Amino acid sequence: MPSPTPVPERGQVDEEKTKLPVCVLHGAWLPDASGGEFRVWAESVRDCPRKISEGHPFRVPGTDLAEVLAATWPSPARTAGATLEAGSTAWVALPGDGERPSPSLELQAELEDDDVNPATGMGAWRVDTVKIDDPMDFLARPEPRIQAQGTVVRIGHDLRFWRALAERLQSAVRRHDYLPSIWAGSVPSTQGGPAKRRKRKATKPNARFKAAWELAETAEEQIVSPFAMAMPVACRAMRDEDPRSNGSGGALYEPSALIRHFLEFHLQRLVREAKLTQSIFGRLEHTFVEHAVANPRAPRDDDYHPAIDSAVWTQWRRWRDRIQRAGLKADERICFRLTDAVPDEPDAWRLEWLLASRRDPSLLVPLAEFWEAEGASAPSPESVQEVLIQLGQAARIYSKLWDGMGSEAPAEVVLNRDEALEFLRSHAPVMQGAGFRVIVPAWWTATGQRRLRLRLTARGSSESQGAGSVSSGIFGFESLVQFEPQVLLDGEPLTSKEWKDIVAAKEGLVELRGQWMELQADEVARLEEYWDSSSTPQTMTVGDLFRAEAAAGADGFEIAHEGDLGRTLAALRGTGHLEMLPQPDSFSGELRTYQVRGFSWLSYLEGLGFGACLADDMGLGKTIQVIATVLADKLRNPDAGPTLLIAPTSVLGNWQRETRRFAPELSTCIQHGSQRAKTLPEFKAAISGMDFVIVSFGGARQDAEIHKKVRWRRLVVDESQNIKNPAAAVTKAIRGIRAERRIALTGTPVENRLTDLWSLFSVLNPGYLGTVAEFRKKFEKPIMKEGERATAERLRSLVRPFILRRMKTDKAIIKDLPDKLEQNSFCNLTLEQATLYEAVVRDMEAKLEAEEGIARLGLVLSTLTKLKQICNHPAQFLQDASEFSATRSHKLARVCEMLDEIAAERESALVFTQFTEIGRALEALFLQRYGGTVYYLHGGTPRARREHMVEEFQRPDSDPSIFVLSLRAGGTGITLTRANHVIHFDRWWNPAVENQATDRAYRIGQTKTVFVHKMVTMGTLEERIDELIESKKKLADDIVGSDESWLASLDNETFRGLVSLDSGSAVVN
Amino acid sequence: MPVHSKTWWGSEFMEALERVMDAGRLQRGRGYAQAHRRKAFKITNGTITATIVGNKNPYFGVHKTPYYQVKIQFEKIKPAVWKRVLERLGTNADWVTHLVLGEVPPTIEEALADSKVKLLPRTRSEIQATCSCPDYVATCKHIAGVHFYVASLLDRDPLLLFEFRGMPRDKLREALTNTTFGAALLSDESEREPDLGDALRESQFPAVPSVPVEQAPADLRSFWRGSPVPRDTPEDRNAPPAPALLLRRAGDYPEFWLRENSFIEAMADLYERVAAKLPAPSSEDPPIDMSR
Repeated sequence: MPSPTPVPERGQVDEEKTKLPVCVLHGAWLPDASGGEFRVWAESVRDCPRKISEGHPFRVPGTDLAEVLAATWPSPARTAGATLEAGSTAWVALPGDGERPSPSLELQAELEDDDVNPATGMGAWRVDTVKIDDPMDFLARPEPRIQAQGTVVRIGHDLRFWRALAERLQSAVRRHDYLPSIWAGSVPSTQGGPAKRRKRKATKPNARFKAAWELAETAEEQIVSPFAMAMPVACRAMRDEDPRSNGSGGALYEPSALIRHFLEFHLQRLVREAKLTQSIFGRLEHTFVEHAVANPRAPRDDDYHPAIDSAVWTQWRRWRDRIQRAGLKADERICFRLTDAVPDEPDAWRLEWLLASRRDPSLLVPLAEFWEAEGASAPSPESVQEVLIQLGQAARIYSKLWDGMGSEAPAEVVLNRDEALEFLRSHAPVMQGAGFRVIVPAWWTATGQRRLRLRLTARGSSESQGAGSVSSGIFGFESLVQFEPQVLLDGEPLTSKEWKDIVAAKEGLVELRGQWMELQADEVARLEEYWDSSSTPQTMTVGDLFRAEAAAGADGFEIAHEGDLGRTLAALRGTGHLEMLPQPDSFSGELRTYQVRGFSWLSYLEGLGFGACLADDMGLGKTIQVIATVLADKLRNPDAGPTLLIAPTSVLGNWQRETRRFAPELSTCIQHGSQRAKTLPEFKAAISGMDFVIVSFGGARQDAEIHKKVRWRRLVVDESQNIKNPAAAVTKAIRGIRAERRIALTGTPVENRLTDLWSLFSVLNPGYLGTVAEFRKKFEKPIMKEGERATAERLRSLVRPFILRRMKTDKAIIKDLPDKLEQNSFCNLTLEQATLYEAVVRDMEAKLEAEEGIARLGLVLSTLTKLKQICNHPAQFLQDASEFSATRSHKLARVCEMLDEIAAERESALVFTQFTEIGRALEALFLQRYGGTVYYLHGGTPRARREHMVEEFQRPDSDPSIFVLSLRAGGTGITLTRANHVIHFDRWWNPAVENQATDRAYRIGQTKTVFVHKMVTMGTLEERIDELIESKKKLADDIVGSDESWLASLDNETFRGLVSLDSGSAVVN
Repeated sequence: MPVHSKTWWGSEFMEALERVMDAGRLQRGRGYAQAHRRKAFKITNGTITATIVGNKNPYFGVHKTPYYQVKIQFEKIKPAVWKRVLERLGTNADWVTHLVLGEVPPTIEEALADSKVKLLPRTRSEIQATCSCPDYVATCKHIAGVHFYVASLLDRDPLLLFEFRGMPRDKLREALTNTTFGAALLSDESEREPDLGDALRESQFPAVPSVPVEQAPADLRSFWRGSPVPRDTPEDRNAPPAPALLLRRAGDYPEFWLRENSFIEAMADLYERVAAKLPAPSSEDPPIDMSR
């Protein structure tokens, strides 16, 4: 490895002391006998200005804390939930060095090393707290925005823990896993001899009662101990008073008890505060449950409910023990097993009862054997009672069980065929929900299910003879195909007798070939549709065939194809052989294997008349696959017409640039901004002879009328998530474009909201998914509202043939990828940047002739710095604290788009820059955009702090993060292999320096392909630098040294050529 | 038909009375089932005796609050028939289970098929009821009041029917101890009553004990981070297959539920309402990726 070369950092203001004020929020539950309080406190990077005795030195003062909470927590109206109690403080036990507490891990990430004191022991400090009035509401809210009024807000893991616990409690409530309960409290003895009282208690305890709620024991078991194990100590470290003063000797709460307390308290509140209807109150009146809910009409007796006495308590307790006993005492558990009827007796389905041991659930004893056991193993009255009670409880849920109990040794109930089906469909899930184990036949389970399948054997019809070879031309959704139906079971065609049996049964359980299966009426009806007319082959359109095929998975259809048609469709589905096309002759570059496949696939679909969506991961080279497709088509059909490419503004230049590079034969033009052709005749003139017309989404909207009137050979929509809104003007405009072939590109999954998918297809393959209303009714509602997996699967297979998505983690792709993939990402300047750039160049030119020696060197270097700043962002150059927004720099916009995709993939990235002010600005911007996990390492970062950041970043269980590094400070020595993306925000003259920086991620320990994205603004100094680096072999190493001083040796003319703006390619506003 | 009772046997018990009474008296009788009307009530050897507080009525010359003695007796089932019933009880899981759960087995009358007398009274002749009030009809509102009350007792304790028909509990116990199911039934009878003393707590919420702070924090990570919190599965967040399943296990109309509407239905509505008021579960399900 070459020795690290120092890189001077230009434009570096001196190591600033001004940091973003950061505050880390913490939370704790303060339990007490009658309730508890949830308190929030916070640390910040600054020492607290207000002094109190034994105060935590860097706590956030109460008033500020309340403001921060109000500003950051969503829906501030309800965060009246957070009220500041005047002077509310609490004690927290924290690790520290005896004098000062150590900052939390979240805060340490923000601090200079000098401020992080070692933790040598525990101490207690006072912090300002805010009491949260409605903790469940507060904790259930989505994560707050992390930046408000100049404060970066981090959520401590202790507070996150409470959020998780609150969510768990709510899940239990959602599952109805709790019971009304009566709390029995002892009456405190106020007077009278204690001895006498105790004696009385022994016979009849003096109690008072209160209606309440308790969690099901099974639910509580599942929460308490796992959460107690996971709980950060900080969660239990808060006290209302100085923990050292009361001599209790302890300052931490016991975790399980604290969790129980929290759950119990908040269960009461969740139920009590739910607004019930009068109808519910009415049906609870005069029962103890009435007191466990807040009935506004009922008299308030907050403390105890005199109406509840020990008799009611006893009744309740007996009832409660019966319910909770299954989770408790008895070892026996009844379970139920349905056994197939034998063919001779189709109405004798045995629902057997078995005993399982809670200790060994795999050991199942038929109840029949339990009764027969004799001697020592004879059933005891207690177990008999337990068995009967459980059977009775089960029979309350499924009353048919009583029928099997009228005997001395009840062991099963026999069901007829309909009852068996009814049991499988409805009762078994309910019994399972009630905690009984139910064993159903394997053929009923999802994996063992047998289905009738309809095989449609399709052949291309006479109209579309020869379909299936690309050369035959358009195939399309409207072509007709012939098919022959056949019904299959287990892969074998049904005999006509079997089919008769099925038609006779229509639905329910039938026995076929020695095994039972369920028939569904609608399924049989659908099969009949085809079977009835089986004698004559039928026809359908390719579109219908696709739809039938998509329904196949869910509906038990299977479509077989013969001949060319079969091959065509198999290739489309990705199951068959797709013919690989040779890369076009004049394509200057080498496509990787998967890119050849992508290009062939695009060409194939295009050729058949289908729109295609290429959804490869970012970095896999969607652009060149499209360029190859366009080029191949152009070579075959030279006069077919132009391709309209619509892309985000930030990549317009990149498209042009890449096209010129890989397919110089294709003529391109960008129609964008004020210079574009604004009338149809102008536009037609401008694009005449062009192969590739590149416009932005904004342009597509503005010039919709013009674009509509051109006949395009092809429409390509890059970053097609921009047309996900079907009602948006831009989507409508693009939908109106007339193009023979259609391609969409996206790097994010073609997802999530189904309407997005419809919108994409409305452009790619209009009509295929129906109208938006039909789509909502047929797909969106069943999938989103009713969660129908089968419908989702059907939709998936409907769209699958038209989407090709490869991920960089796919095995086949990994094989095809080098360990490191470097790509330039070209972008244009905005008008603002270009204006500034030209002004600086003009200014330099005016002075250059006059200067010599050191002064000339100074001018050269300062000009370089200024130009690079402008290429990065106008705000960096102007240094006027103006907005660091993506709209002012396409480069920044592009980087943000890339990071969006990286974040969506839950991957980590390094961003290198040679300017500290850009590093700082990026950090602030990324924090705002991507939440808490952004690090920034620069020359002034103390060593220990830097190690801490690196360690956190590398930790496999931490969240994926973005690491901003200065090229000089971060370029050497550290390992950041968690990242598999490296973005060079600006360029350095010496590739060795850039490579060294890249090697932070690309080194031993890296398991993924490293994607290196180098940002280059076109037509500027940066592009010249890039060319220099590319052609570095032609230059002697000693000329391009490690710093920029060699530039001074260039003569004026050469230097001017190096920095001047090529306005032809530079600007896209 | 008015709802008299929450259980089928309680209802049938009242229907027997309905057949011999006019509707007006029956309705007025309801008022006499209230606790303040009952000065005394006891069941001895299957015979019910009660003292009912009547109304002053100067028109009929009743100037002081009157007390009426009500006595109700049921025709007893013959010992031979009982023997058969008990034999069957000892060998019939259905019956015992119902009784263990506090219900009258719906098929119990089958065992009495050839007996003139059934477990549940149906005709007037099976019930001998007298009242000391001056009402001229045989079945007055006071008797009706006692009936209403008895029906509510029966709802909770079906073994009372056995007692009315001549099978007191101690005899029942004696007869059943030797059979498998009988022992189980009686094992329930002898089930320890919940002990209030054990359940008493000083405060509503459990005390949270403290543990001493170690002098040096084990490590900063466990102090501030802990370990990853167990995630709940999507199933955990789903609604149950049927509402209030937990409660269903113990049957409807538990002892403490004196209302006539269904406990389970009221609770099911309560549960669903409470769940509906919760914020929607945060969905961390992966997005539906159509391209995979």
